[in-house]
Amino acid sequence: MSKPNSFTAKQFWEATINSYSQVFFSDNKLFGFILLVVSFFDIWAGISGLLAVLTTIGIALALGFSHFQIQKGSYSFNSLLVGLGTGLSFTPGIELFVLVFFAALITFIITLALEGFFAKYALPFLSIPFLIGMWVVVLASRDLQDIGLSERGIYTANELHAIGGIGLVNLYTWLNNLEIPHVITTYLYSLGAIFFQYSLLAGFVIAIGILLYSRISFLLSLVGFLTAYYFYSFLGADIAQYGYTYIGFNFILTAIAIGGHFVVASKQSFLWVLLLLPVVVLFTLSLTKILLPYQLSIYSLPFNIVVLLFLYILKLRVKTDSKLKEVSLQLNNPEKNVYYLEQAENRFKWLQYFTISLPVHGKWKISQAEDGEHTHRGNWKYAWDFIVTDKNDKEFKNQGDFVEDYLCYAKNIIAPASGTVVEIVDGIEDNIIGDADVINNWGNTIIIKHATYLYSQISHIKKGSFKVKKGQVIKKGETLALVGNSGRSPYPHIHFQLQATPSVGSKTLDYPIDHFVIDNNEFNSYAKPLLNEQVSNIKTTNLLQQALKFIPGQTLKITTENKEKTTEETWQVKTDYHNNLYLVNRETNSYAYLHQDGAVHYFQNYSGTKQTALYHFYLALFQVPLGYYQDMEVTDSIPSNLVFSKFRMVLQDFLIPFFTLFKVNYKLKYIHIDNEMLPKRIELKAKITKRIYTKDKEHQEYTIIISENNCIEIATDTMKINITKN
Amino acid sequence: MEKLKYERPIINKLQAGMPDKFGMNIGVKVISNIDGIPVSEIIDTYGSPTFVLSEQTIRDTFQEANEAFTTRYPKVQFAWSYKTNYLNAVCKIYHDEGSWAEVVSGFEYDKAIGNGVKGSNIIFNGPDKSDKDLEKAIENDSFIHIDHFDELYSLIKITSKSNKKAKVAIRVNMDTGIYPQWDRFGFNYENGDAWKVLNKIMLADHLELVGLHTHIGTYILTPNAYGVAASKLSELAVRVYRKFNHIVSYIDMGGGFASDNTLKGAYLPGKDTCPSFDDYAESITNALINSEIPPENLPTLILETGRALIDDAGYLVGTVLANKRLVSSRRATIIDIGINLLFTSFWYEHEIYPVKQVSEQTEDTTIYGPLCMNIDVVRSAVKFPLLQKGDHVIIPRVGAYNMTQWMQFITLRPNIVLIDTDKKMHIIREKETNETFNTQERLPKHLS
Repeated sequence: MSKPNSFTAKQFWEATINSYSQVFFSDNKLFGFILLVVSFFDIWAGISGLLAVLTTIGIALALGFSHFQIQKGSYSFNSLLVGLGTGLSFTPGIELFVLVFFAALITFIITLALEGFFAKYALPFLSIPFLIGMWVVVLASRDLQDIGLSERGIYTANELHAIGGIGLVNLYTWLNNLEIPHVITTYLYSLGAIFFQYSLLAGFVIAIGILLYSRISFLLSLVGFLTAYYFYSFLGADIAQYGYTYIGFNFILTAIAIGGHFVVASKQSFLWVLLLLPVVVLFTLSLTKILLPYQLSIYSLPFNIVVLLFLYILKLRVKTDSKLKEVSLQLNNPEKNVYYLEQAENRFKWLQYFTISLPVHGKWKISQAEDGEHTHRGNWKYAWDFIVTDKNDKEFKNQGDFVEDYLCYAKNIIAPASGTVVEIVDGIEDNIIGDADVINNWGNTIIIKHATYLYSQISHIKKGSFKVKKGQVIKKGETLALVGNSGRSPYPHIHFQLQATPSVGSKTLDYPIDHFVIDNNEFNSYAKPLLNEQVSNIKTTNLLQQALKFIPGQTLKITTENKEKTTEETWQVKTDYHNNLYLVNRETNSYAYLHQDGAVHYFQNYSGTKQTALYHFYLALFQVPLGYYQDMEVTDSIPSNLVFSKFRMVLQDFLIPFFTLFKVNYKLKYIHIDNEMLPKRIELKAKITKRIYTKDKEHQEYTIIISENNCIEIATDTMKINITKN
Repeated sequence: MEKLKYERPIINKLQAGMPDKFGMNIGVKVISNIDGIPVSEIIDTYGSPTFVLSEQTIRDTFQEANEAFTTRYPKVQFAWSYKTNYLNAVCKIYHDEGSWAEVVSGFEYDKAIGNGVKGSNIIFNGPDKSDKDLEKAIENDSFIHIDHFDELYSLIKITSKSNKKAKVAIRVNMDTGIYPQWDRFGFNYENGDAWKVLNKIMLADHLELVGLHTHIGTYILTPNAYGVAASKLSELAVRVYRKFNHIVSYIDMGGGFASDNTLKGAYLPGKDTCPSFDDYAESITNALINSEIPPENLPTLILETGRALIDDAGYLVGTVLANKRLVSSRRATIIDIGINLLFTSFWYEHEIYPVKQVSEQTEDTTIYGPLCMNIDVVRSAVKFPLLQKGDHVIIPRVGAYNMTQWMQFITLRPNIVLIDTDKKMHIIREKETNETFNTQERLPKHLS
């Protein structure tokens, strides 16, 4: 068994390969490998680069830096670039390797220093460490007598022959002799230049690599480059004359960084790429002049400046609901970032948040919602007023002249979540109907602390009806007090708001209700009740709750029957160190991540083959509210890459910033329950529909039967899956 | 010009300037229509007397009661008390509103099944359940509320043979501070019988304890008594949980909510004294919520309210047969509605109204039914306007019990009409004819 702190060979390999792909913000192994190979197009540059990477990883490990960051390659990709640059610029020899070693060390130190500096602003350090490291080496080398400038890069064919034999040379000559338009050759040269390779072949291989790792990045590299290219010609400058100075990649990297890596790819992000690229061009032209006296190349300086500035100003925005969204969880792939955002926005935006339910039993009407016309304005706009109405939408009996006539009057107010009572205001009389006490605006009020900076306030309570005391720890659902008509309340109702501070009448927080049902048939999660909606908390059913409760350590036995055969699978319930719960099928290495909050069962993600029962389980039970509602239909959308084939997804990947070509809709219906109070068998139906542009096509229909003793059966026309827990 | 109606002369003691505590009673209340349909039209179409039920009122009252409980407690289930009114049409309205069925005999059980109620939505109460009934109920997964030890033993015997688990609850009687204490049904709480039977059930192999039931009495005017009962039942639930780690799924508070009718001998009218659904709901739900049962284990609250849900929806419409003066000089009016139809007049002072304004004047009157029996008194003393033969009368709030406890005695039972929510009338039970009776009767040969 390895020691808990040991860095395995596999991790070492990943750290190395990731250093290469990190240059393009990727962690794709295949892409990393391709780049590694490309770097060896110049054998000494390749060796120097690799040496720089290994040196950095070694030092980082020896000093005890984060294994996670090392493995991601974040510390070593700058060293790699410096290594490559150094290796290419100087003649090979032991001196070169010593120089590379120290260049890597410098770069590593700068990397960490800058990481610390930029982290405060939540900004990446990009390739600034490389810039500084490279300039240090270049400036210093002018005094270093024993290291000669390399002449390589001039006799490319000879070098290629050394690595790939005559075949590679032929490919190289064929490529060079092709009548390729100027714009394409410049693009390919620029790509190659990122790895200090000035050849079409290198550029071509890197282009293929980008395409394999991300369609969006590929598209962005083209858009970015072409924008800059035509901006140059528009202004009457010639981009090609700068080709030798390795600057074309600034445009490509800026486009990928702004268009899809740090910002979620969208129409808006592409628009910003178009707007920012001319800026990069201007920086390129001007900075070159500044560095000219020192005979220094600007390398990736324009890219670093523009990207950092832009990312920084994005963080200063006030409105966060803009369509230009920063990537919050970096998945190192623009496509994944887009698809994740889609899921995160629609399904899991609030998942890590503290859950708050409605503070009442049964069905209540929202008489004033957020941004309401009466009092929910300005600092108090995120609040709701609740009343009860009868089926004719009347809120009182008789003439409504007395508080007792009102249906909501003196009804229980319950704790919307567990917490501690931090404030109680009592002693204010109910108003007579139509009157409002503007002096004691909030009336009798309770404030509960649920978490740090999360308090709930309920107002207009009946005098003397408090069932809890200040300082008391309360559980969700516990009765707090009764609805009254105190404070600025012309007729009985309660005011409910969430706030960040514990004083009465604090500024309200924009915070959703975890789950609620509208009119007993429309399910809402992490949403806000709207004006005039009749809302109630979800009523859970024990049978569903038990059947879909997975406890880490459990083993599940699964039998799948289809026409030909019966197969068996075993799943295990596990949690990772982020406390994410998942089911895993060890034989096929398939994972289904799920989330349970007691009221709703969600599948969050799936990875692995589509041939397992686990995959069908994931699709069929994608989202299941754990209460039985005969007339309710639950809809959700499944990530399209989990249903559509990889090949089809390529097309989608190209188009996703602009519009969604493929969609997968999930629909759950409640079919039958044998007994509402003590159910032994519940039948559900899940329908999965593929949508291609605007055309719907049924993909799969699952009949889900949940019965006593935690048995779940999932059936389609052709097969039947049985899941038993033990 | 139409001839003015004759009004007989009366002598009334003048009490001007001395209103009693209810103020001056000005005028005579008239109920001329039911849900907008004139009473005279109903009588013309369906004869006199006729029972009339308003679907609108049934649904409104149910929703009012349901709302009173569901906005106070998370899990609420109503079960329609069949014995209160088991006309199929009525039961179906309640089932449509979401009610289960609460039955107290094999006959009612079959009626509920016939009305399309799932076996598992039937609560089987009462002291009279034959072995056959029990077998059927077990087979259908109905909830059996055990009334006495002999029933428990029968259940143990039956289930040990069939090997199918019976879902059972026990009926508990207790002191809730009201009189009379109904101790004839179920097991007593205070003397420990209830706890004893719970132990026996928990140890029985084929009995699954699902609920606790009580029914503290009828026409209960103190909501607080329900609170006491709910607390005692929760205490039993907690004890079961502590000893057997078993969660009781429901607590059934039975029925007994009062309707607005005035009880005989009551000082104030029922309308003024009768608690609202909110009062009962508050008392019951507060007791449950404040019990030691934690919020996540709170049992479903089942309510078997009958009277309070249906009484207001029922009307009896009839006709004056005659007026006479008694020896005591008291005025008497005979109408075609007697205690054969209005069984509840034994315990209520039923209100009775004319359907048309006839006179401002009223006279202290005794109202008799049509039966040739001395006991057939609908109201022994009521301030009644001066109606004449052929005038129509209406008795509101007769929906509960009358259509199940009525008698075929001397006269035949009349039509029952339902006015639906679109104000259309439907006969939901045909009036009886001689034929109805003859089909049941058999003549021995020597008499035919």
